[in-house]
Amino acid sequence: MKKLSVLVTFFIILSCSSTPAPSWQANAHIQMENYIETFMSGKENFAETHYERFYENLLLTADPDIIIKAPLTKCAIEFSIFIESNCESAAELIPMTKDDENRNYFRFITSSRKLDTMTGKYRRVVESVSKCDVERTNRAISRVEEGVSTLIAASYAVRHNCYNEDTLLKALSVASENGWIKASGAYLEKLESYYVSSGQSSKADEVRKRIELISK
Amino acid sequence: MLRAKIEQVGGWAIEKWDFFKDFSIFVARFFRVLFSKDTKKGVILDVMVMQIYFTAVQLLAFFLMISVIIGTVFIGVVLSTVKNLGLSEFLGDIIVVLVALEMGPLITVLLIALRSSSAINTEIAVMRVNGEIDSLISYGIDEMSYLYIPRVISVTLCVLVMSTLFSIIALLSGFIFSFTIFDISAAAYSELIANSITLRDVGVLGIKSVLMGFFISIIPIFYGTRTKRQFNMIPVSVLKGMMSVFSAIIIVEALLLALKLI
Amino acid sequence: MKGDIKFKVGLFLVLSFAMIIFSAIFVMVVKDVFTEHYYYNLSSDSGDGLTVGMSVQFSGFQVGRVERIELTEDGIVMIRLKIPSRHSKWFRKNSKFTLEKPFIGSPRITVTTPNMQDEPLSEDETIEIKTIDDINEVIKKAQPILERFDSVAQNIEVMTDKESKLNKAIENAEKIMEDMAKSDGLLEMLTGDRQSAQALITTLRALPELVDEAKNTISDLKVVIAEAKEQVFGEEGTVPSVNALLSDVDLKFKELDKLIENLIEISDDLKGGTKDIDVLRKEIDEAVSSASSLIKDIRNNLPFEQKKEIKLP
Repeated sequence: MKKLSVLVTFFIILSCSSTPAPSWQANAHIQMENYIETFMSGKENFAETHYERFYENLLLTADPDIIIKAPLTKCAIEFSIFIESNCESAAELIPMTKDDENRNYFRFITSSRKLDTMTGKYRRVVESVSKCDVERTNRAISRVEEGVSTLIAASYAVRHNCYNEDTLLKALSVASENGWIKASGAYLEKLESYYVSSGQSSKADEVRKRIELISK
Repeated sequence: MLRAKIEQVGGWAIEKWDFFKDFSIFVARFFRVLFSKDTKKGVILDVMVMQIYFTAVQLLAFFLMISVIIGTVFIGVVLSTVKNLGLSEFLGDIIVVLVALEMGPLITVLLIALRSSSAINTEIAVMRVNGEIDSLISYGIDEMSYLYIPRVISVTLCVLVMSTLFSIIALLSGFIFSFTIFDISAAAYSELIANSITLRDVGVLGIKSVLMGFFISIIPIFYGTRTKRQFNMIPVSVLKGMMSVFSAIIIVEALLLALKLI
Repeated sequence: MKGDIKFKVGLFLVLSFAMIIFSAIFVMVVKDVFTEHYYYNLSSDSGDGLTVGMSVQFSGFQVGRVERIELTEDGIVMIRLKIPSRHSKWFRKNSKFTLEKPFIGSPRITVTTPNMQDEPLSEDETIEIKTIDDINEVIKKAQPILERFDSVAQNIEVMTDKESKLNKAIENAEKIMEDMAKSDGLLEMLTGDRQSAQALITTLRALPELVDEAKNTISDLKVVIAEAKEQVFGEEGTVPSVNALLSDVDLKFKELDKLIENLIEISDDLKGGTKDIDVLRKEIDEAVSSASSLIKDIRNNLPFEQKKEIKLP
């Protein structure tokens, strides 16, 4: 039996090979990561080029459901640091898409009203924000993995006015850990105005100093 | 029309079944007589010596030559293929499986079947047509112990001994080739082969040889005893007998392979 | 006549049996059936890849076999090695045992003994076995490095892209230099063509910054390559049977190294403005395109898994 298996492997070895992922996918993935990284680190010049390459690579598939991932990503990244945009380029593509995930995601980052439900990793966040349970929202945000997604979740809570100091501090620590100076700046500003509006002037001063430090 | 066809199939099946039944009865009788105390060992021994002489000794020179040639050529081919594929690690296993377990018994049994099975079939058929077997029986001599048993035992023994010899000689001559062409030392070669041989391999070789030896002798004897009493039926009997011998070899080979896979 | 036949048959049988018995004894001697054996015990967390009868090797030579594998009550796999006495000298107190699962070929247990003068290994002792899973190990180690590698390389490509800021800056600088080269170019600028003056200032300001950025990325790539080399080819990572596969990759790494040195040199020159800009740009283009083709080569040489779905953040 053992010897037979030896003979069998003999031939199997000769006939095995594996197929790598298509190059558009590998390239798009790298460009997307580079885009997020450079954008968050405040290197907009490079971010733009990376985004263009990301988009070009997705365009190769000619599939609207895949192509839309580029504008959606861009829009979500901007959304995560409170840059208001109406996601025009994604909106143009939305009627052509078939995938509900893309549509839901689009609504998630553009809708001015609170959503009732959402699929995927933001489900808990959306649900707790819809009832505006801040504690639960904060817990839901901490459970979202990956830095960018945490920021997106936090930004969603902030936009729908269902947040507190902890929400902002959590997002700030994620941004700072990753070295995303641009995101850190955005959340510091939010934090400052939060302290000002809640009358904690000494804390607001501290935050202002931090803002000044990084804007030098 | 259709009925005739079905009848044909039925007739064929009945004929085969009868044949198989008769053959089984014959084999059963063979073993009964073989293990009974009345069988005279002295007579058996004399006939056996003659049969071994015809089956093995006369064939020996040619047989040895064949095993040397096949050993060198075949192992050479295997060596270079395996080396090219970078599977030198399995060299020993591949040589042992192919040469000792597969080619050894097969070539031996084919050679002996060609020479002795056909001879035995003709001999028994002629005796049957001439009425010699009947006269033996009428004198009260048991034809099974006097004619058949010694032939079956000696052919089986010869196949067993000679396929082992074939394996040993082929592996030995394979060494000459690997030494001259691939520069493999005697120690390395013997270690390679010895480490690949297991007790199981030896067992499989033994069982295979005994089974094949038994069938290539008892089948032609059986066909010989069933020859119709006409001289022109002798070649028909030999022809059918040899076809069955060949099928038996293939069946034994396939059964043992299936057994190994389970 | 009859006696003659009997003699021949007898001779045949005697000689054949003698030969068979002799061969059997020979095989048994080679297989160490008659020699005394030593038994050593190893332990492992997993029985994966272990088989009874698998070879135990010292310096590439088989010195014994695995006799038994057992799963103990507490979930540890016990391996019993059967070693003929003449090979027992290789087994010392400080001996290390590794289970190697090579890319091609059957797995084996390898013994290494750093100090032959050490006490002999006792049969009562149980030593833990280490596992080396050649190609998988290498892939596991090299995958993240290659990923970073790729991303840095893409960065370089972006920077040196025709449309990139760096290139634009270089282009602008080129134009301005051209203008200056014309006899009245300098004068024209000095006499107050504000647009040109502004362009010159921004370009000159932007250039060192951009070049610095490029340099950073390039030296980043250098770090990644050094890391990759250390992990894949360093002492820890050396796996003999994949070395052939990797030596080609190593060569490529070396070439890349040289290219990057060049790039750094080029960007230094660019900053100092000591070289003709047009020539410089061509050099950068060339270096980058060969770098990226080299990286592609390296990728093709290593069988990495590259399934990367594009997922929304």
